[in-house]
Amino acid sequence: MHNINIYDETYLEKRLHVQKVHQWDFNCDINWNLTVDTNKYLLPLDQSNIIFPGASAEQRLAISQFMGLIVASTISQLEMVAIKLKGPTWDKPLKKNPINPEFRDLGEQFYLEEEKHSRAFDKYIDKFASALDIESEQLRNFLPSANKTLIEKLYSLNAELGGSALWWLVAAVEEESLLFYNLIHNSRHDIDPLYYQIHRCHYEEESRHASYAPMMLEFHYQFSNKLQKNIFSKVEFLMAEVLNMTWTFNQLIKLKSLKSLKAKHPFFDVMYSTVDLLKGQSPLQVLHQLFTSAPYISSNLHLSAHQHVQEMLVRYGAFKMPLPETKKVVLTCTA
Amino acid sequence: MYCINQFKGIHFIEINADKKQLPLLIVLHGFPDNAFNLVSLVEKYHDDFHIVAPFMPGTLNNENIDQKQLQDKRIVHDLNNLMSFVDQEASKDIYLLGHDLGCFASVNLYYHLRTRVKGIIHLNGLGLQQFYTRKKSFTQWIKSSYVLIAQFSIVRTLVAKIFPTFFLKLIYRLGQVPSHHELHQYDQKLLNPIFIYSTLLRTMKHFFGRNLLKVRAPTLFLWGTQDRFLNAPSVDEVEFFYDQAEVRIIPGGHWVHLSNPLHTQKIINKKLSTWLRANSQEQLFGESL
Repeated sequence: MHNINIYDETYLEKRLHVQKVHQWDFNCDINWNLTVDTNKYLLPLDQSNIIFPGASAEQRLAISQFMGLIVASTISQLEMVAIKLKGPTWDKPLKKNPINPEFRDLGEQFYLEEEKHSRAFDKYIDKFASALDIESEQLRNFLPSANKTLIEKLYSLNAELGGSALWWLVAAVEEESLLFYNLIHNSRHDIDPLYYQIHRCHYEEESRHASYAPMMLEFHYQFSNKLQKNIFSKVEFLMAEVLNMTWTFNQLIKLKSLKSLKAKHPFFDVMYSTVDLLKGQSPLQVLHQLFTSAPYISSNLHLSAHQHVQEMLVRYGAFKMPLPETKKVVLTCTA
Repeated sequence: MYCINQFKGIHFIEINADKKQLPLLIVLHGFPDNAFNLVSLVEKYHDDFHIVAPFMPGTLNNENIDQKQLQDKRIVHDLNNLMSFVDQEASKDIYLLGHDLGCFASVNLYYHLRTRVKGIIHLNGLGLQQFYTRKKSFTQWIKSSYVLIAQFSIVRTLVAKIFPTFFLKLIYRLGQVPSHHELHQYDQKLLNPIFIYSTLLRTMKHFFGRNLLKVRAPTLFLWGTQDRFLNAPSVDEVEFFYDQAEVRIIPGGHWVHLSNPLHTQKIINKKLSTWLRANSQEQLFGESL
């Protein structure tokens, strides 16, 4: 369990000091002169090709790159949502219950880092698009976007009502991003160097500020009234789970429209050809695999599977969705 | 053992009276309480401060009190007199530490002393004008409903004269005073100043339409999170009344210094040290610092 003692100003001050001293610089600590190596994987994939059985080496590379871009865009977009909802989800409750200046300063640092991470992944997507010689916007059309979506509005509404659903999501996604880095790190020699570098920097700061979202959940719990404590805090994780699933499936459906870009670049052509690999499977089978064994996607759908999230669910007596368990798969960057 | 002095009918604890160079730390207790608890909180600072902790009328020796002694203006007048007595040259820097109703007096005293006040600490308490602005807060009305009930003389008699033990126990339980604390051993005399609720309510009507008097001295609000009598101040509220204030909420009740003494002490020690250091540097190098 993270240390979530929000009242311990000495601990918070030390945390802030560590974060400030070790924070990385956007321009200096990432070598932006590196070009994207389009022959390299972005994420290791399962050897058994559970979702895309029979995928060729070329298709595996495209899937890996596409998944890598989805992960980059997801992180960037969710961090952007957190920043956009800073007012109702952080500033307002902290102004109402100003627990201590150190907790606030730690939050400012958290948002500073999140904004930097979002920018870094965003820039990588631009660089990838430029490596493919296509407009960045064309690529983004197929990548997750949370801008002005209904989901963003629902999180905002929840926060206005004094809820903390977004913090459940942030806590889970942050924990997930640490797991993703470990997977990438194990295959680092086969991963595009720039992509790896960004994930490494991201990992460093995420692991340092990983306790902030749990702290915000604790803050909400400590300062919520009885109604919020007994009802809202129990179902907010469920809400985050449902919204996250809706969002994930919405993003996956976007793959269908790859057809329109088929002719633009071989990358899209190869990627679109993977849709054929799904045809031998029933939709239910695909859905089941997405929930249980699809690398990255099933992990994203199982927010409650992460260790710290589980501990917090127990601590706050929050409900979670009954989902089939995920299977462990071996991930590699080879065909 | 404390040395208790008396000046014009006001009893007060005084520590380091002979050390003329030390700044003054005025300690103002709340209700129903006396000066002993707050003084024990700042005992560690014996060497750094000339400490003066007056008792609210009637709370030390159970002496009869004149209701005029509890009027807002009179309290400040008496405190001012006391200040002139303990610091005859009127040259010392002043720090104010108040709890509950002591914070009302603290803020009023600040308006009289202004630039001499170098720091204010409020423990689960606030200025009267600030309290008045909470008139639209439903939860504050619920928490302060006893103030309205205490306007009736029969209620005051019931509380202070007929069932004082019951009411003291109730108040201390709600305020999270530990059951073993010596505050439980004091008798009904602590309830003697109950009339203060009437005078304060009357004073509040003068705030209608009155200009805001902003406090410029650095201020710390230290609040027990489980306060059943007063809502913790928000940043907006504090910024409205204070130029440089900081709020800290810690686990504890209305008597935060008794329910969470170690944490309270740690924060107060740190804050007083910071202020002392800053002011001594200011004296050495000028205000530009």
